[in-house]
Amino acid sequence: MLFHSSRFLRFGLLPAALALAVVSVGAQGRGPAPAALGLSTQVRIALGHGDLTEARRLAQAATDESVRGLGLALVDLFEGKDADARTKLTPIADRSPLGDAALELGLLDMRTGHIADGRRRLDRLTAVRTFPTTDDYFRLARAARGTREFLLANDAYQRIATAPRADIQSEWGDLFLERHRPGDAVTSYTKALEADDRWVPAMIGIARALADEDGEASAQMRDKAAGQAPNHPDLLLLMAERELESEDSTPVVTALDRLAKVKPNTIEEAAMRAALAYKDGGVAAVEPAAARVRELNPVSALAYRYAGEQAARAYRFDDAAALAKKAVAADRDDPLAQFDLGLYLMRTGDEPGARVALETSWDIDKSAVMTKNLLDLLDTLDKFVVVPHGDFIFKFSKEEAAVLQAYALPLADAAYAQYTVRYGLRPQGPILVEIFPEHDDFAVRTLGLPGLEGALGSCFGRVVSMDSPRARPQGDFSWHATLWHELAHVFSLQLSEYRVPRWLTEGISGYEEHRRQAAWGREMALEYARALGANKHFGVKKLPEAFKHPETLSLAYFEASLVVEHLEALKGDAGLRAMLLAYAKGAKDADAFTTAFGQSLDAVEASFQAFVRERYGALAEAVRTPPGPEIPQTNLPALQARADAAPGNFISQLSLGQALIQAGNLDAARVALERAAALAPQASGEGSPRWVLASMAETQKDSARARREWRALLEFDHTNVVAARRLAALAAADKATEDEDFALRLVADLDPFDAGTHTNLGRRLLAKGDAPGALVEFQAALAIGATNPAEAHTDAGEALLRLGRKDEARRQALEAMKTAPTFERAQDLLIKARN
Amino acid sequence: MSGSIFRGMAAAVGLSVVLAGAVQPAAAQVGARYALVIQGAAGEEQYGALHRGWLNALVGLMRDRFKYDAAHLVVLADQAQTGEGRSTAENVRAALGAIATAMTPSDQLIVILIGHGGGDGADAKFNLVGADLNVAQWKALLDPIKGRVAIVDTTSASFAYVAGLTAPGRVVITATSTYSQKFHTMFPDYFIKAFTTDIADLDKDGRISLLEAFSFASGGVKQYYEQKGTMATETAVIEDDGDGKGRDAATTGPDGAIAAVTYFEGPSVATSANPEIQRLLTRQRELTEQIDDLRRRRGFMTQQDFDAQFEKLATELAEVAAEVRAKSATPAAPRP
Repeated sequence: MLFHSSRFLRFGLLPAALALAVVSVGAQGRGPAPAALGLSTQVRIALGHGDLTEARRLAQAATDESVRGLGLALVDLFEGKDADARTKLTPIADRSPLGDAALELGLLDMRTGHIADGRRRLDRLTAVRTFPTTDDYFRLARAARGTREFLLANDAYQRIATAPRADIQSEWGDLFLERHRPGDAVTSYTKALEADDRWVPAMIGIARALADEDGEASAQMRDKAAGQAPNHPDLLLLMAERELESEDSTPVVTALDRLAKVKPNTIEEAAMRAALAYKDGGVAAVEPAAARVRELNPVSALAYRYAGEQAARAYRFDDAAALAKKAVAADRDDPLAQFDLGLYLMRTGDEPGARVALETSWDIDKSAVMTKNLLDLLDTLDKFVVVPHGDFIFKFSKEEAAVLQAYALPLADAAYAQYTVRYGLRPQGPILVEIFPEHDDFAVRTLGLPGLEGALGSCFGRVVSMDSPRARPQGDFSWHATLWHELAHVFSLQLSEYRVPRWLTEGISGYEEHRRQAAWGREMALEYARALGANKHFGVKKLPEAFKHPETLSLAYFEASLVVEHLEALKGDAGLRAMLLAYAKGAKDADAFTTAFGQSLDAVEASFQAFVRERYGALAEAVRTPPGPEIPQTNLPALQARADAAPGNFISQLSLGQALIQAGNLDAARVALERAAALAPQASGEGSPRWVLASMAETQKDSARARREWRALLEFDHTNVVAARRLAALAAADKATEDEDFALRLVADLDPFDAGTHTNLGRRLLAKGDAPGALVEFQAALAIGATNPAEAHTDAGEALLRLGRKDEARRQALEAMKTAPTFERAQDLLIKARN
Repeated sequence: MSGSIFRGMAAAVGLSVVLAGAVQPAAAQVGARYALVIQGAAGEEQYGALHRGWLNALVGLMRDRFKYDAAHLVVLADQAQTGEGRSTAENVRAALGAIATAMTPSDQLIVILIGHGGGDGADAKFNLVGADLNVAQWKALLDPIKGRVAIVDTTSASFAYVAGLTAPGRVVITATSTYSQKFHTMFPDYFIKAFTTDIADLDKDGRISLLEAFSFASGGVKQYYEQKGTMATETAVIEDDGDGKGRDAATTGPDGAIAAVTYFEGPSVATSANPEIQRLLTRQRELTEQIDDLRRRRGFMTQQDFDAQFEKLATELAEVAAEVRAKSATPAAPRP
């Protein structure tokens, strides 16, 4: 393991870089005179507004030759006329090597592969660290970014952080965005717009930064930029980026063609064409586009980086890693290329390779949050227990390994066996499964950043990572269902050669959950029914779009699983297989439906709509909001009247039941609540009819009825560990073994770190003759740290004895007697095991 | 928790379990048993009912199961019922004064406090009805008592009692381990449950020592908060080596040696009128003592030697115990 004592995130924490670098500033040319500086600033502002005409007018109006040359060069650069700009900038830069022209020329050199010249010019600028003016620091910041001294650049920006200047704040935002810090970027862009609400680069920056998190706000900002400067090169580039995610390549080409027209020969345009080439033709198609990038800058990694990003977006991480390797080969000093390589290798499961690339990236750039996060995560993973198992490699935290592997391995085996048959595929392996007790570690494994609050698991094709039960509050989720879900992705992704659209792979995984256990993957039934009742569901056609918006994601997942259930009903597993294979061959949605089901998308849509109406129509009707004004809980007569008038309305019955409880009329409450429960048995949680009925029955000491209600609740509310525990306790007291077995199994699945439950479950299994199953539970109890070790060892020993493993049973008996020599069961076990 | 004839011997085993490598405590008590159980000021209604329930459960156990002499079982409550006094400072003083007068050096007193604690730092107080007693005042009341004293403060803000009440040979258990733990505690619930379940009987000797109850309750509280999904706001501490520092259940250390041989119930000695059985019982006692001795020497032996000798003794012990059971026709303890 590499030691990372020096791996402190430096970005934003290094004012020392400037404070310690005391370099005297001579009188030699620091640029144009103040008056002239004012004019070039005006040119920049006009360009920032996207007003090329005004920029040119201002530049041409300048009387000072240097200022005029610089202003016109800025216009040239905006228009992609690099050669013209170079001609204008060179004499000025030579005269004033610490001035704006030198900076622009240095940046141009770096951008076009004249690295030595660029460095020579920019290094002179970055060597100077103390300045009297904001513009000086801004120049330093830009020069430092040009030479990839990101810490210095950030430090310089910090010195001028309060400057109410759109250009400064906007470029600082660009720096943040490039370092994968969209939140900080938005802050800077916002400040830019506060300083100048017409600053187009800031609008584009916000649109880019918010694209994943808040599509609507992103689009609004993009539209605002388009309204002001429809032909701004950065806007056209942004449009091309966005369109890359859609199926059709035409809009991308259109945007890039427009970009080429207003600003020819940009490396970004050429690199974007490389991404497009990958999208349409795979890795091999990238080379011609990459060659074009090399013409513009022989050492640029951008073509391969963009193509790699495109491959990663399509979950083709082997391709992404291959392209990232080319990017690294093109420019070993590009920290982003090294980072990309590390990230993609992690997603292929090559963690050692990833570490090398990430370490290299970190050595170049100690400001990169995601690099640091991933390296820290690799350190964490180094301490995990690695369990090779058939086609899998599991990684568990040391504290959880003994318990989780007892469950995870057989579950994964079962999934693998079922999916292999169902999808006719033996997936490329090994399949790496990492289970994290810290949710943020899972989030970093998935996205490189902590957070990702809603996600439980992720799959990159051969790598599955997920939350362990300890990563979330108890009862929050079923980690069994999550593992089952993620492993289904392995098959749908690989069978489709990673071309399966998101709606389908999620739909398949959700449906596979449901196939495994009826309650799994059906948690959103009530919400879906409400949406259906309001005609706010999506249907087959609108599902892909629903997956793009966070606010519709949960419902989209649910409906996708229903679509897959419907597809499976149409033509069985063969239909699903055919569909995935169609995608593998490059089919789009409409073609895939026709190929797999012999039906048009419209026909499938129609039959799906009928299917969901039949399945959830009654529920949708039942969960409608009752008409009329809201009735307070205290107005029992009104609630009663409403419930009488609407016997099929869930909310009317439930609210009546609750009010009757408050009024102390439990018998009548029970009638209303049972009606509510029958109308919407999927209702879950503490406020649900079943929960209330069960609690009432407990209060009334009617444990048989309480058990029935808990059981009915848990048939749907399968992660409700509190209800499961209450059922287990009642069942144990009543010796209702069937209920007890059900409840104990559920608790053990949801909270595998409850030693007492493992013990009780093990004893039940042993009583039923399932010694292997019992042994698993007893060993789990021992691994967790049983409340009573002597009993736990004896339990395990008795199961071992039943399995004929006498020597192990004897050892367990002795372990028990070391704590409790007079323990009769242990003594008996010892005698039997020795006989 | 069987009622078998092995109790006396099992107690000796229980002693040895805890003593391995630890200080030698005083021998188990053989004198009279006294208990003072106090439910302090209840505060809100919900707590009043909860605390009263705990008080009833505990007093019921002491009276019915552990057969405390009614005259030795003093109960003070917020709302006193028949046979109880009110939990005022005056009544506490009177009760402890009377107990101090009655107790001899071979007797045992267990004081259990249920309710709320408050105050800051070392000035913490158990909330009585009316004026409270501070830690120093409690100490002044307990110090004159001859015999073994164990005080279990199951309330919030009880940590100050660890240092404040410590004394040679005295067991102090508190529900909290820092001054900042001031929220209502669940420790008493699990502490009382410990005396009703075989699981708490770690050495399977049929008796629950205060140390076992402390361990069980600590585990229960930990699991309570884990299952609730919130950070634990209480961690119990035990102190009985007189240094006033204490330890929690997850930590090893000298504290707990005396608590390991302090029980609610009185001692019982396994004997039989049948000479053959008595011979076996004697052998059983010898074997348990030999096992105890072997465990003391464990640190000076190789693992292999220890295991070999332990298995030999354990096997003979198991065989003798089986023979005793067969000959005395004592039904085996029910399986959990």
